[in-house]
Amino acid sequence: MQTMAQKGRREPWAAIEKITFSCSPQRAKLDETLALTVGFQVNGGIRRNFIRRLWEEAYDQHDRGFRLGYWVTIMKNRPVPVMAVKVKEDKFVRRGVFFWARNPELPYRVWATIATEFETILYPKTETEAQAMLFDVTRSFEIPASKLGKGLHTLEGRIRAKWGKHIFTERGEAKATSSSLKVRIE
Amino acid sequence: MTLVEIELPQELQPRQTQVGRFIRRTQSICPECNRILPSTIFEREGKVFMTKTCVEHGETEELYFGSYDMYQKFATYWSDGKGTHAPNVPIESCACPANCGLCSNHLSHTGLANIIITNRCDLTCWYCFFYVKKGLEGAYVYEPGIDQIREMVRVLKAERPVPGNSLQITGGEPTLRADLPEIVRIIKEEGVDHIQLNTNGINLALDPGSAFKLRDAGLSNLYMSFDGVTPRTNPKNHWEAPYAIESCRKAGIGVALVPTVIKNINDHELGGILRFAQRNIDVVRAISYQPVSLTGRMKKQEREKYRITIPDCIERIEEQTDGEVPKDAWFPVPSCSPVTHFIEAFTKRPQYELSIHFACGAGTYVFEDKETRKLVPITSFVDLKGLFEYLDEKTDELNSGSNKYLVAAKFMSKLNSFIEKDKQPAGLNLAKLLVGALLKHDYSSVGQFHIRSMFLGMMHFQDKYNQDEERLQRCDIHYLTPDMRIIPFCSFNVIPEWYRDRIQKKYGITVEEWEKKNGEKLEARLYRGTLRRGKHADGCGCNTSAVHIEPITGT
Repeated sequence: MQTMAQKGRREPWAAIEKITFSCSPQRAKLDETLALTVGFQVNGGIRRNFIRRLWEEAYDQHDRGFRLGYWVTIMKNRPVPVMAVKVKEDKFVRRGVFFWARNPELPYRVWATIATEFETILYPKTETEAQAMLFDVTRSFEIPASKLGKGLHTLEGRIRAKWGKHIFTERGEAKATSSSLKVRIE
Repeated sequence: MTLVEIELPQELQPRQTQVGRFIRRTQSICPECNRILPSTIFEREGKVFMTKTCVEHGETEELYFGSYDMYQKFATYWSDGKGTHAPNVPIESCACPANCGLCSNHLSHTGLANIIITNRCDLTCWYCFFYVKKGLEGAYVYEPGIDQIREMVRVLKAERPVPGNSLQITGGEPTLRADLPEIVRIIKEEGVDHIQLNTNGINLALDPGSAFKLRDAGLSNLYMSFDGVTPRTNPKNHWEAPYAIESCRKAGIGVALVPTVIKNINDHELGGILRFAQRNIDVVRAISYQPVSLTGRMKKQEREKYRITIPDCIERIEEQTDGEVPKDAWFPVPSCSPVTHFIEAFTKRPQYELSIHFACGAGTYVFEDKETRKLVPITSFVDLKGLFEYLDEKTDELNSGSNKYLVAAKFMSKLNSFIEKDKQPAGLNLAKLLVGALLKHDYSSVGQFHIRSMFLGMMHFQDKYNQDEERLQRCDIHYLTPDMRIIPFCSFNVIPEWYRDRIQKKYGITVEEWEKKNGEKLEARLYRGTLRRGKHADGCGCNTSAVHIEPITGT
């Protein structure tokens, strides 16, 4: 199914898109803290396939959850790309949990909740909302300006998403890099 | 002016008086007429409530879970189970809570099967609804025969894909049956590995020799009522429990203490119960706190007086142990699922799974520090969240076709990073134990886990006020009945008129018939308080005994 979708539509099965990368402030003193925000979406067949019909199909074959691992790394670029330095790395997981719903207003047997890192659970009302909860990501970081040191720095966000094999997808991963951002520390 | 009656559109219809943050919709029953009702789970002032409205009997609002934060944390471990492929009641559409038995829509296999061998009891506790009361209209004695018991156990063992392997003999008071050792032997013969006895312990206190007979027959442990550490909170077996524990100590049978927790009655003694268990940690392997299930008709005010939920108990334990067992140490029962799923992915075979609803139960392990005598929860030296997350990741890899030996090698090399070895209690090598259990399926080393450790569990059985079909559908504590059904606990006891009472009446005999058949009066076996005369037993551990106020010296 995945291969056919790829061939038919000539698009990647999964792509990290709509990447935003911001830093506030972009001109800071050495003792200040920088707030960095990385936002992105995972799009493509994997997102389109995260629908109720396939949740139910997966559920009936005892494939009852979809685990998506994300890595967001803030890199400080150097003139030679291989010498880029890792400033901050964040690994996190989002899980779609398929369950037998007892909601009398829901005309379906199987629905999904989205769990984030064993901390919170979200109850989507629609498939689109479920997709957004799982595949739309905004992560914020705080780093002391002193970690970068004085001078003009070029930062970028590297993003990776990885998942395993399920009824509705093969195992796979997607990678992307944000546009770079200049930050001056005085 | 004429008043015009208009029909409001659905969205403008008067709503239930729910004020708060909506969480989810589910189904429940009317506490008056058992009608299935849509119900709403919502948050208000940091707590989770359920509300439902019966067209005939009005609205019922009930506390569902005492902490919204804990509800959120627990809900992330949600994992539906494998169910059972050998149901006794095949049905097309789900009709919970009717037709339980197990039906083909039930989502958990039997985790623990209960088998009632008598409904006679040697006590007459005012709050108990379970024992036969002579003089009541329609009172009957229910005592399945040996053959019936064997057949019931065979039904349990016939469950697929995971045959039942853990069974609790319960009552009434099961030790009133003279053939109890034979019953244990039969259950063992049928291939059940774990057999526990739910008892008030009085007969084991009176006759220590019976503990040896039960052990020899194959009994694994005692599941003993223990509601508090004072005679006021534990009138049932305050004086007898220490003797019963001593009998088990001598016979080498483990004990789980089982306090039923009622707000404003014994919720101030949850820490005291834990200290009592700690003093007997060589034999007490577990405490299973059970927040009360409110039966019968109760007004809201009365329910609020007694209602306590899992998070409330967890908070009280933290307070009453001066933070030794903190809130963060507790995990919902289905948090075991990543471990099960990993073993399943590794072995490619269905495994025993605790897939109950996250709001049904919680647990943790505590160890006793040999030097300070303080309790050390497992979370103080193991990053459980990290370990579960890692197991989920490796399960995904195995299910995606990765080489299982490479995954096992990665797992072994990473395992130690979740365990702070210097904080690990002496004598315990958790990493070795986990490798043995998860990869080699060698469970003999699991016994190590119990070296000066206790499992603290919490199980909140439902009642008609807080009944949630979502929880019922996932229940894994079941009853075996002589009509060869397996009925979830929260159907069997929450709607007794459909299940427990009906079945026991059908397969029981009247008190008069029983007395005639056995040549004795029902009340002849009532406990007369033999062990209560005089003073407290030395070291009984209760509040009025000297030991309680002295430093803990161990056993």
